[in-house]
Amino acid sequence: MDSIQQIFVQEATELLSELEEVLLTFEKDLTDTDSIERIFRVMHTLKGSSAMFGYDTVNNFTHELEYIYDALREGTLEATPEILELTLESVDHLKMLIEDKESQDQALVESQASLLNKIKKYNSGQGVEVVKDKVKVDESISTYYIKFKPFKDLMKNGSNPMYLLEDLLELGKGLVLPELNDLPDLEALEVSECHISFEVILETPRPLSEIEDVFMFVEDTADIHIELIIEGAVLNEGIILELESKAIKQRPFGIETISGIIQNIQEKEQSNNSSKPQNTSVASDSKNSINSIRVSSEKLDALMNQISELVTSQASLSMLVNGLEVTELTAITENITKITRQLRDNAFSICLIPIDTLVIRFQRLVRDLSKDLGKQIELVTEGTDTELDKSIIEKLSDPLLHLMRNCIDHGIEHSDVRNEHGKKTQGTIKIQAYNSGTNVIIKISDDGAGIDLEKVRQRAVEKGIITPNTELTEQETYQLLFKSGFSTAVALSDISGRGVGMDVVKRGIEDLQGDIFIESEKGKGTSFTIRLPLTLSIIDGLLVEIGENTYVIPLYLVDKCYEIPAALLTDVSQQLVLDGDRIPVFHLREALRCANQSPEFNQIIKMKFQNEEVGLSVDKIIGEHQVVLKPLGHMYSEQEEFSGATILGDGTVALVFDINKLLKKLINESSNNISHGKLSYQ
Amino acid sequence: MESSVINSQSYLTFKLDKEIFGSTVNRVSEIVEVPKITKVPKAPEYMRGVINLRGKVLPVIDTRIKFGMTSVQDTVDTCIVVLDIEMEGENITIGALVDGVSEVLTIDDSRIESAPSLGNKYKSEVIDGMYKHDEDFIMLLNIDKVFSGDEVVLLAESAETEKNEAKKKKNEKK
Repeated sequence: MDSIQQIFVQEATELLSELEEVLLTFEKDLTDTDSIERIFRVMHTLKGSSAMFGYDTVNNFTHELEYIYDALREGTLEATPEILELTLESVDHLKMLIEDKESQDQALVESQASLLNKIKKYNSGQGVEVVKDKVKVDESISTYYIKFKPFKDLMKNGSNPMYLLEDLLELGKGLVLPELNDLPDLEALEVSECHISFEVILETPRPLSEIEDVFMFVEDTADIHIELIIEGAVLNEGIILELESKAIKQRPFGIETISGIIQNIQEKEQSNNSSKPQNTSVASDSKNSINSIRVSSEKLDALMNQISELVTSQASLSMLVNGLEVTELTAITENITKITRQLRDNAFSICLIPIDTLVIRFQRLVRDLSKDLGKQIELVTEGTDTELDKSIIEKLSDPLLHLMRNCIDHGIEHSDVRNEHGKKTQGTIKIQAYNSGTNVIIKISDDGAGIDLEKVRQRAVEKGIITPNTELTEQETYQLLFKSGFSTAVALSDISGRGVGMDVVKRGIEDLQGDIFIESEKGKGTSFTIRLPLTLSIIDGLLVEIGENTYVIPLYLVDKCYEIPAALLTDVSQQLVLDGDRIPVFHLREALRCANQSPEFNQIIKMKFQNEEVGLSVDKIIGEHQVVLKPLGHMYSEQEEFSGATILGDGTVALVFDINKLLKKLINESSNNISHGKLSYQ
Repeated sequence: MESSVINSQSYLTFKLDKEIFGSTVNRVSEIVEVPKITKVPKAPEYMRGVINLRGKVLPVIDTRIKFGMTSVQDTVDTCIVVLDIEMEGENITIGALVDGVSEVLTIDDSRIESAPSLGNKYKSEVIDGMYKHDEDFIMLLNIDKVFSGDEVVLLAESAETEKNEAKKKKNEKK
């Protein structure tokens, strides 16, 4: 039962978030019938599955709620912001109901009663404004029968019957019935000729002339016959089913048969007194679902694991074969290498999901929070179809949520303040996402008050994070915001600024091997830029040797490599001049305390760390390597400078550096040493 | 006879220096030869490193150091016992480097003696009991307790000195 319940909870949660999404689109245009239709459909599904799984409270509640949208659909009720508000409240309530099957929580039972009251008010007709008779809308729609029989050489003129049909369907709702009777046997088939003719039932508000216009250029190369079947819309599920279920051999049906069928079904429906039939979107939905299947993330994880094992085994195979020099074997191995790579890329792309999935939640957050705070805020998104590994998306949600809260709470000013400063009354928060190399950049920006650098400084001095004389660059000052226990807001609100937060944001992002920068202009706004790797499980790495071990440095960080004599490296941290620039260099041999003899020449790898250039010295650079990242596990949780390990082609284990944490540790240690040195000097 | 079948357990015995230890076989998943071990820098001394166990990265603990003995060169008998242990409520897999595994013994529960609290050099909580096998005493280990702690499992005083030494080393490293 438990696992079945889990399925329901998962499905219901998805349905509710879909509902939320549609409701928010609906809010922008309360007359949008498509949205109403979608809302109704989602509710209907939810009602059905909750009944099936024994969630009676959910079932009853949704049932009542559904009435409203049924009325909206029918046009007997007009959509108002109040209804929308009520529905959103109900969605929140439903979310809690799903978690609480036996309705144990007394508070829930009470809120249920009060919500139901409100809902029933609409359903009993109170507060209902009846809109104009809906038939009026239908009157202007007419249903046409179109017979389109292209001549064989239609395509030779550069026309394509498919495009014509597409154009036709843009005019309104239609059903295309192809007829294949003239299709020759396969041997005789001349592919450049057209052998198919079509019957189309089209309901459209447009005049007949527009339909004729579609066929304007093929008048001479096709038989076209257009006839009015009936005034008004007739295409519904029953008719479509009836027509599609008839044998294809019986086609063409001809206008007489079709109008006969339509009349038949209409009569049947009237006698059954059935409700308004579902329209074609239902049919098209079921077509969509074939294009994608739902797979549990456990299965995906298992697949990714197996593929990483395959990648590792394949690397060993390649290495072995290279030593053997058997031509046939080499060829096969190369082929396997190629396939493995493709398989890996494919499986990898399956695990990518668009950032969109997060944005829905933010839309709701912005809407609710801005209302609570009495601010006017609009959320603009850009490039949210950018994809990221699902495990990253999961972990990204909290940090992003917190940043959004910060923008809403601290960033955007109240409308009167905004007006005073000559800004638009409505504040804007923008989420932008885009790919940059092997990274994904997510930028959250607001056009609010911006960050007061001086205030940040003062605060940091007060908190003892820096001394009054500490010289900091702009970026360094912003980074102070991420120190724990730092909060500039004087009055703490329950939305953000509990003293924790920004440091958690930074840590969360660093755990994902990413980093975050702040840009701000006082009075103009603030933007947070987050850089993330595309995936955590498989990365491109630079294989290096330090002491007796092999290590991996994530390749996307590597900027440039230099060779220098080992004698130049004297200390764990020192400054070296590379390409004319003086940059700090950390001697990893020393830092990792390697015992064996250093080679005569060391390699310096230059990379960017928090927008500054730094160098790391290694004994030897081996080369590029596809790295399947494996966790080091609990026993090594103290060794933070490693994000994991990977298995090399020869079966040995190489450690993968977490460069962020490594450099932070090294910088801390070296600054401690310096202060120690000063103390002893004094 | 039947009751003794119900009340007996199987133990894998292994050697460390001159002593014999036993671990319940329920926790032993396999025994592997020693492959190349990759040392993780700056880890505690008893953490020998990580190995590749069929595509998984397995931490290996030098059991000799964990028991306060001196580390020795690996021999042909040296092997890694792969154990599933519980640590802070999580199940994790580790490898324990031992001098050599001996045999699997089925030991009747009634024949297990409680560990003497006096004259035993190991902390009492890591020893579940003792069993006399021929002329040898086998110490039956509480595997979770032995490997989940981050210190050596000698008795308090000797452990203390060991700890201090480790601390000293740590400070030196810093």
